[in-house]
Formats: sequence, structure tokens, C-alpha cells
Amino acid sequence: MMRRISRRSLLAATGASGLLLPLLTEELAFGADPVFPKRIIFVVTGNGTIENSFWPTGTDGNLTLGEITSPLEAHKAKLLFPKGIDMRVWSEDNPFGGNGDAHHNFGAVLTATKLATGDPPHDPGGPGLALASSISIDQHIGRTFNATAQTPLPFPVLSARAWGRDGTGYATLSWTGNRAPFSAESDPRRLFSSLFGGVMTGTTPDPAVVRLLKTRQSVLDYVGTSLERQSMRLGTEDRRKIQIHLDAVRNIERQLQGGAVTTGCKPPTLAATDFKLMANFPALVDAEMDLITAALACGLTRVATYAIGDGEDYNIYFPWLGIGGKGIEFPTRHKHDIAHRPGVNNVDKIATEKWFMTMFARLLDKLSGVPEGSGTLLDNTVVLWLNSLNSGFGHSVLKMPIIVAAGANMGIRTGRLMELRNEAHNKLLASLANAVGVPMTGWGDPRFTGTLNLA
Amino acid sequence: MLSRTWSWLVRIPFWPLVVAAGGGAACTGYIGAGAGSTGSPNGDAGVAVAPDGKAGVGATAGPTPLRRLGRVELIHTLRDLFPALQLDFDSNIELPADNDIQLAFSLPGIVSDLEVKRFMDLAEATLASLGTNAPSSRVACAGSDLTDCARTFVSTFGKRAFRRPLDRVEVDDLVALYTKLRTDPQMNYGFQEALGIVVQAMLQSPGFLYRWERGLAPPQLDGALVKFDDYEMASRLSYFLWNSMPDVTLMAAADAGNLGTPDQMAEQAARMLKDPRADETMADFITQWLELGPLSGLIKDAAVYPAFKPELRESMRAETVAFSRDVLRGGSPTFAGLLTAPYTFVDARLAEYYGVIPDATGRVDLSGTSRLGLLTQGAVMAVKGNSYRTSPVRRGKFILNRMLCSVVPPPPPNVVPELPPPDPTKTLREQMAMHRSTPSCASCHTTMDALGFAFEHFDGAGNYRNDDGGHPIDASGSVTLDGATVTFRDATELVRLLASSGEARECFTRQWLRYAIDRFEQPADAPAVHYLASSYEGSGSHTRDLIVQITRTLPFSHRAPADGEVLTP
Repeated sequence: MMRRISRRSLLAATGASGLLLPLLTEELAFGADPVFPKRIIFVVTGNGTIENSFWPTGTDGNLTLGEITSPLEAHKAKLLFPKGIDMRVWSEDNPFGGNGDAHHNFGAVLTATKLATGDPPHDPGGPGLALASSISIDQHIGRTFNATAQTPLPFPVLSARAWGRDGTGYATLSWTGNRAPFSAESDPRRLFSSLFGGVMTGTTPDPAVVRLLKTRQSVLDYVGTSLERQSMRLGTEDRRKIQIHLDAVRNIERQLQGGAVTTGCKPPTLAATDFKLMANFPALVDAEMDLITAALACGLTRVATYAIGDGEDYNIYFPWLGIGGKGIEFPTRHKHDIAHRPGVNNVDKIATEKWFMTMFARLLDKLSGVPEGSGTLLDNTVVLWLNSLNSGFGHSVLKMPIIVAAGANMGIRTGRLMELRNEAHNKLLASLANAVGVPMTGWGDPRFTGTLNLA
Repeated sequence: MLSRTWSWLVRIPFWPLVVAAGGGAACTGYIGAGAGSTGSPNGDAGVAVAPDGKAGVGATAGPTPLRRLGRVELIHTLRDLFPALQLDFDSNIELPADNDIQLAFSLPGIVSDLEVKRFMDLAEATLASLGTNAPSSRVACAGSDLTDCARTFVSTFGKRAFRRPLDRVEVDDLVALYTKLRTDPQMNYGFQEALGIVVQAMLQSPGFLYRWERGLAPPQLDGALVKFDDYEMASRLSYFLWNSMPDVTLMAAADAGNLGTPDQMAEQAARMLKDPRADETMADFITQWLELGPLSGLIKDAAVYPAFKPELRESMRAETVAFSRDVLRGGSPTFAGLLTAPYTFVDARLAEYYGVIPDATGRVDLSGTSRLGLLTQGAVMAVKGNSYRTSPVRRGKFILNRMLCSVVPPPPPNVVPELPPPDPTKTLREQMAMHRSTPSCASCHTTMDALGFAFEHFDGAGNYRNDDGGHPIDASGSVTLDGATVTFRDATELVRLLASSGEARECFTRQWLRYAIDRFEQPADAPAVHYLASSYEGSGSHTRDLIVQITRTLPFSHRAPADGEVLTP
């Protein structure tokens, strides 16, 4: 049973042409003994860490965090540190013909398969765009959720990004299949419009909103038909590209039809900040985390993928930490420069990685600030926080800096360091999928099949 | 002359090839059509040009993957489609970025959810910005049947938007959309409003967004190949030469079936080259060929290069564009001219930066100086320089990739790709000696660094310098060109050697072909590759003539059928 919920109209307020209008429908309030849906968030950053300052010490339930991870102190009971996870699809079968440039490994992070080989007519020289060769686990989970849900969610996967570069490949974590990137939204205002643009005033929908919504649906319906018609004669590879376009059109149409939201869903307030200024990067990440949290809380999605940077991070630097001036390889001491040349006592590297952990803590604060039944959203959520490199200096993908945050209902035993040896990151991904109710015995490259026991 | 050109090519193995580094192996590989594929060094085996438009049995051409309009093409096309359009594409509109592909010209990527939204934004913003200037706002319907008028409108405007006539079923789809917009009680749009939304829909449709001017029609088979039809040819010409949609003349030629032979294509190409829109395309080719994309965001260390102000970036780009335009538009538009012409054009800022005095037109005579042609210009030197020093490796790699069509493989694993901090007691060349003394490095770096060191008189920010931190500069080296090892004393000598090298000229024709057909040449394109190199030599390397000749060749007019393509009517 569904009914329309009424909320503030943002149509006039934003007026953006990018406005998408999911009409949200409220599910009946959860019963006395509710079972809340499980959610998963993948957060990926790049350029590695400083191991000695990252990993905790101590015994289960009594961890002493490192200097870098110390901002997570308040949440440490909910953290699992799997130490000894390697990105073996990269280290053992490098698609770059021996080049160690794992800065371009985002396409292998959530797919856990090696990257696609080049596209000869366009890219005979090598790896080109660092395209993934298979579906990523966030997309697989989102699709599985939607296939089994009574009401499919408008966003099977919410994919967002803070800075990094545009264009396909490199910075893309989320893939719907072989060489099929799912681009991430990097503009928080557009992300807001996509998620919350269509909420309404009063008990009846605003006719102007309905009209715009219906118009866009009609236009996309026509576009989809045209794509279908024109793809009939195409060769296999061209048809593949058009199919991705067509799937995207159908996705947006579904988003426009709206979906279910839970009670207590509240769109966040987006500050009038200039998010394009580097000095406002903390505010940008904070806003995007707010949007992800709200989208999960509102039942717009159950899977969020969030890239902070693009793995190379030539355009992220840290004026708010007082790190400035001349880089060692570059004019400004940006994230890449800091990672390549940590400097005396690694002071800058530690400060910047610590800042990322502060933001991780803030995400956990946000998730645990949303009530769900007698607990919080965090109780029903697992967060994978992964750095795509061990260190930005050596470009190693062994012993990756990974933290799993898991709530009380996720069946993951937390508050501990899990010592492992050369386990493929495929296994961790598979285990996390199992934790959110998507069963699998392994993920990605079959050479690295299996799961880890996280309980 | 030709046999000399091919003598080196014959030694080159087939595409695709990137030779692994190390073990004393030759460093560079080669991409492109293998010369052996036609069996004859003079290029007369195999069909390069089909005089009557029919390639016939045995002719070959590479595949042509489906391609969407890129960023620049989209902007140009919208401006040509709607002359009244006033959209600021730099600040208000976010278009999907194209992908920079190493070794190639940029290409648009896949359309996923985000891009669908961007195209929706673009279509809505375009119509909103046009207002009463939208073609849909100017439809006057004389008859009583508005739907008939709508049908006429979508057919006529659709032909411009899709660059070909619409199939009946496509018109029906658009009229059905129009009718729904008019009659649905929740939408209930007026006549012109509904047509405006139909225009939005067309701008999001594959007919507009993809280079697909065949529409729903079956491909025309010609032997084992597919021949592009007249509307496809019109767009192949216009997107090659103008980065935009065909003009009225070109569409009329397509309507009349006058784009079916190489001579007809060449006639149109020659006409279009005279249009100022071709200037932009030549500038686009030059800046992409020279890998100047990063220039707009280039930052230099102010402590090392205090005079390199952000405004200089545009001045440097303008210098390269103005110079190449002057050469390519002039009486001798040759490769050698681009590389060695002893003059340039600077604005006041760049004149001060270089320390030169231009004449009233901005022209500077460079005779007798250390600069000449494109390669020693500020833009090239600054983009291929690091922020605080030169980068002989990047400069050398650039020369190999872009001037000699060679591929340098990436460094072996576990190599730290940056140098240790600078040692002020040594020149950079001395500091980089490790590259040449370590065998695994030397196989590539011996060649690459030697080419790069030639430019050591140009600092990391593109200015001339007499010495390297007080140490004298050794810019000498040697290079193997056209099968012979030759030595040079500095950049001017290296540039002159390149300018007179058949190998480099031939590479230049390949770069143009790649730009024209949006892909790398394949073995099946070998006859055309040979034909273009030979015709370029025969014309005294007349680059405008080369551009015209490209439109006559089989890779321009024909393609191999794609795997899985439905060829039956």
C-alpha cells in the first residue's frame, strides 16, 4: 500500500534545468517489529596511506588506533580492520604490461577483475581509458535488490564523486558490465535535484511538477524507442554501446516514476557554498555525505558508491590544513605530490589521511544520527572504506588500507583487527555482499573465488 | 623518393605492436597499417581510391565504429542548427567531457545515466534560451489540421537535426509524441509549445547525437565493403572539415546524389576548406596533434618561473594557432613549413615574455635565432615541461609519438617515474645519465632522452635559456631517420632533420588520416595510407591538398562491415 507524501516543492526554488523529479511515495509506517532493509556504501580514495600510522594495535574490543585512524575513536567498536588484503587481480595480472601505475585501478576495485584490453580502432597502443571488463559489485547488489523488491528503488545505485576528472574510465568505480561505465555525479546541486527535486506541496501534487515530470517521461520514452529502432542493424560492439545508452534512458524513466520512501525521510539542506573552490572541499564532501545518507534513509537507494578523487588526485590539495606552497614534483603540494614525496616524517601525508578519516567519522555520525526503529540507520548499514593503493610512493596494491564499518544488524564482528595474509580483495567484496543479503560464493575473477568469515 | 620512404617501413612489423622494453630489445613499436600488407612498396597494389565510387571485389578498408558527437561537435552543431542560440557552453552548461586517449585524438565516451541527464539538460536549456527564436516558435500553420503541420515540421526540421531525411516510422514516432503532448490531460500543451518539446526530444535522440546518417536504411554493399551513402558522406565531410553539421550546399549535393565519387567529394572538400570554419578545424588538429590540451590549466612553479603568468597560456595557444594558420593558409602549406618556418606571431604579453619585438601585425622574424616553426614554440615546450624544470623524457616521447608515429612502452614495474630531487651541481643531462647506463632503461631512454635533450635550450615554461643553472647546455645527439643515423647539435638542427625526413612526413599524413576517420589506420587501410603518403610527396607536401585527398580515399568513403551487423535489406 502506498500513498503520496507531501513535502515542500523545490521546483521553483531551484529552477535548474537539471531538475529531475522523482515523485516519492511513502510506504506505510513500519510495524511494531520492523525489519529494516540492509544498505551498503562503498567509499574509495586513492594515493595510499602510511601503514605505520594507519593500522591499529591491541586486542579484539580493545583497539588502539593509529595516528591516521585516531579520528575514528568514537566509532571503533563498529570497525573491522582487515589487514593483509591484496588487490590480486592487479598485482598478479597487471593489464598495463608491467607498468606499475595502479593510480588507474579504480575500474578494478569493485569489479575485482582485470581491466579490459584496448579497443583497437581507437586505442591500439595500450590500456587507454582503464575501462573495467565486468560489472561492479555495487551494481550487482543494486540490481539484485531491485529484482527482489516489491517496489524497485529509483536508484539501484547512487554513484557520486568529489572532484577527480571527467570523462570515462580512470575515475569510474561503478560499471554495469564490460566497458560499460556508470558515471558518477560530481555536482552536489545536481545530485540533490536528482534525488529530491520532485517533492511536493500539499496533499495533491503540484500540477506544474506533474506536467514537467510527465513531459520528461514522454520525451525519454520517445528517445528509448528511437534507440531501439536504430540499433536493429548495428554490429555487436556498436549495439552494446547503444544498449548502455538505452538502459540509462530506461533508468531515468524509472527514477521519474518515483519510488518508496520511509517515514522520517528528510532532504538535507544544501548550503549556498561555492563547491568549486578547493577551500570548500570539506564542505563539498560533507554535503555529498549528507545526500548519500538522506538517499539511504529515504529509501531512494540501498547502495551508494562514492569516489573521493580519481586515484591520481592531481587537483586535490589541502589549504584548510595549512598545507600549501611548492610541491616536490608540482607547484602546489596536492594529494598526489604529498603521496609521492611524503616529506620529512611524513607529516603532510599523515595530516591529509587523518583528515579523510575525520570525514569517515563524520559519515558514521550521520548514519548513526538517523533513527530506525529502536536503533539507527548505521545498524543496518555496512561501509567499505578503501584506499586504492597501499602507498602512493611505491604504487603497491598489497596490504590495502581498508576499513569496514558495520552496524549491529549486519552480522559482522567489529572492534577488531583481522590479520590476514595475501587474501584477494575479491573475497572481502563477496563477504560484504553476503552481509547485505546478496548471496555469493565469490566475486569477480574466478581465480580468487571464496569469501572471508567476518562474523 | 618514395622508395626511400618505404625502405624503413618495410622493416616495421604488422599492427598492433608495442614492443616490450628491456633485454636490449628495440624500444619503440609501431602502430598503423603494416607496409607488407599490400605486398608492394609503392602502394599500387590494393585499392586506395575508387574513381567511380565503386571499390569492387578485393578492396579493403578498416571498420568504422559508431561514434557520438563530441563536445566541440555538439556545440558547433547546435550553433549551426540554431543560429540565434546564445548559450554559454563554458559556464552554464555541463556537457559530457571527451576522453583524451594517449596517441590519438579525443573521442566522446559511452552514454550512461549521468550523460542522459546532461543531454536532457542541454536540450531543455537550448529551447529555453532560444525562446521565440526556436524554429518551433515560428511555425505558422495555414491549414486547419495542426497535426499535418506538425508532421511537416518534424520532417523538415528533422532532416536538418538528423542530417538526413527521416524514415516514415521516425516521423510517425515524433508526431505521436506531439499528439501525446497536446492531448494528455496532465500536459495539454499548445501547438508551438508541443513542437518545442518535440525539438528537445530530437536533440536527445540517437539521430542527432550519433553519427548515424544512414538512419534505418540497410547499408549499401560494395564488394565486401559497405559504402557510405550520400548523407553519410555529407556528414563525414562536414565533421572532418568543420566539426559541425553539413551546410545547405552539402545537403543539396547529398539530395542530388552528388557525393558518390572521389572527385565529387574532393570538389566539396576544396570548397569547404576555403570556409573560415576550416580554420577552426585546422587549429583543432594542430592543438590535438601537438597535445596542447593541458595548456589551458598549466601551472608553473612561480619560484622557478616567475614570468609565467596564467594569461600567457592563452597567448601561447594563440601563437601556435596563428602561426599554423599562416602556414596552412599560405602558398606553401607544408610539413617542413610548420616545423621550420622562421617566424611567429605573438601578442604583447608573449612578446615581452620572449623578449622579442613584433611588427604591427604581431609577426616576429626568427631568422638566425634559436627558435623556428611549431616545435620550439612556448606552448609545446611549456606543456612538455615540468613545473620547475624541463622534461627531456616527455619531449622525446612526444617527438617519437607524434612526429615519428612510434609507440614507447610504459616503464617496467617498480620504476619510480620521477627523478630524485634536483642536484644543483649537475646539469639535468648529467643527472639523467642513469637512464642510459641502466640496461632496462636504456633501450627506450637512449632514443627518447636524446630527442628530448635537443630542446634543453628551452626551459620548462617555454622560454629560451643560455645555460642550465649556470652549466653549459649540451643539446647535441643523434637520431635514426629514414634508416640512417644522423647527428644534430641542437633543436634547430633536429627540427630541420625531422622536417626533411620522409618518415616524419609520412607520419604527418597518418595523423591527418586518423583525425579524419576518428580512428587508427588498420592493415586494411594500407593502400590508402600509401596513397596519401605518395600523393603528399607528389604535391610537394601541400597539406591542404592532403586534406582533400583524404576525402577521396576508401577509408573515408567505405568501411568494413561490423561483426554482427545486419547487412540484408
